[in-house]
Amino acid sequence: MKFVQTICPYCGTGCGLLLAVKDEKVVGVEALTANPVNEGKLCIKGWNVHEFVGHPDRLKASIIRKDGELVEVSWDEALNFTASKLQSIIREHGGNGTGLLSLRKVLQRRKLSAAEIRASPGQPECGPLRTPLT
Amino acid sequence: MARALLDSKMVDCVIAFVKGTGPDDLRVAFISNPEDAAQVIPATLNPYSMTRLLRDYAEGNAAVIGRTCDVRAVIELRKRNRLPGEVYTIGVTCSDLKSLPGVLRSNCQRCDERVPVMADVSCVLLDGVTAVEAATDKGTAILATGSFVVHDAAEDEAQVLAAMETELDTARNQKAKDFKLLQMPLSVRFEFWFSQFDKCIKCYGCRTSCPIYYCKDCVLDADRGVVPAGEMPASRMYHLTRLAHVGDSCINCGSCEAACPVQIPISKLYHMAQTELGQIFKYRPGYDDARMPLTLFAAAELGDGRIDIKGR
Amino acid sequence: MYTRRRIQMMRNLLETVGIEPERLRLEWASSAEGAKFARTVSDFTETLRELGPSPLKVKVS
Repeated sequence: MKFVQTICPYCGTGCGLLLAVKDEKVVGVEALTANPVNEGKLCIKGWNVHEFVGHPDRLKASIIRKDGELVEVSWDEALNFTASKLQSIIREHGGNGTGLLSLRKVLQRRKLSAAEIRASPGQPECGPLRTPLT
Repeated sequence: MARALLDSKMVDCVIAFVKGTGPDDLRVAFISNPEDAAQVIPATLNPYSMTRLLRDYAEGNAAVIGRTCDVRAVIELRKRNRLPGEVYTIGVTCSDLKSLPGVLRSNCQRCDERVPVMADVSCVLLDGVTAVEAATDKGTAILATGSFVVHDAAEDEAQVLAAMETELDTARNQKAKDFKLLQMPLSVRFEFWFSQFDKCIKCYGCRTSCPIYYCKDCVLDADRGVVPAGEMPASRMYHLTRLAHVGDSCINCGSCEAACPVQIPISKLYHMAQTELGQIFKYRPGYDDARMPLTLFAAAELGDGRIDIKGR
Repeated sequence: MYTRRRIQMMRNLLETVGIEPERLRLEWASSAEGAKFARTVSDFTETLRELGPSPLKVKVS
């Protein structure tokens, strides 16, 4: 039984937490008291982070709907597909009419050149609405 | 002592504080390897209840090296059949509290139960030596596993309690101050508590971190209807229900308040409730095997429909 | 059997958070005591009317 220190993957706040790990499986979550961001407190999503890690419905690869079926594809294909779709939307509606909702943590780390949308299990994550895409 | 316990295979793991990554970072660890036993630190300042971690994650027999509140929680969980196996308690007196008067958590400030007399083995720091005393048969068994010199405990305990008197007095004064709300008129109390409850964001942190909370299928879960999902501010029934379910056994560990992101003084409310109810039912949670008051009734109480809440 | 204690506890808790304990009342009546039941309910309704709407219904400012 050990406790592994990490940061919550949900919103952009980045609360510190300890994953309770038993036999190499994540079985629970504890709040990290020493972290200055959350000082030992978590929101309901943070307290239940362990639930999605091993959940059978969790997305583990990119998927695109082709002919009505969801098909697993490579990262490259997924990114290219998303980028080209976004580009056509921008062409049609202009940059001011387009926004991208994503996790602040993702946007801060990557330049917004290709469409990098995090595959999150089930719930779309909303971060701050970014400035218009050009 | 941790090493002796693990070596003798009396327990599968020892739950105690160890150092974390920063200078003030104390974490709870589950130590099963006797080699790691040296990491144990007999400190008392981390807000989270060790016993709650024991309840949630431990398997087999365990020993808890913790504070009075951790030990009392073990006793309460034992009554509710929620311990994973045999649990041995080694209580450490909260002696490092006096070093940080301003930083102390509010529930520690009003705690006047800092000597873990109810633990199997209680430890007190006296002039650089740790005095140990076994209070139960299990405690004697623990001390038999290693070569500990057992001091004459009675005298030492008196000495410790005397030294602590000033601290305990400060704590009692603080408690009286904290509980002043009980003397205020009903409307003042209502305004205060319900404006606090309205801050709630329903993170359920208080419930998760409470060592006394023991239901596997809690009525407060969103799909049970008492606390409607998606309603904000949180339904006040959440707090009132929790108070009714856990309030008679609150041991003032403060984990709830430590977990609350909006800083509702939960521990104060529950401790107040328990103090009142404890006087009415003559019950002190966490000290002995006395059953919870709601699981008992006295023969004299049957047949009389009159209730007097001032009857103490 | 446990009712008496539970009601006692609830009244105390209600008082701790500032709700009038008089809003909670315990009476014992068997199914044969119809008249007593009716009287208790009327009495209690009157008590509640005098106490006014529950503070829980009023939004805290």
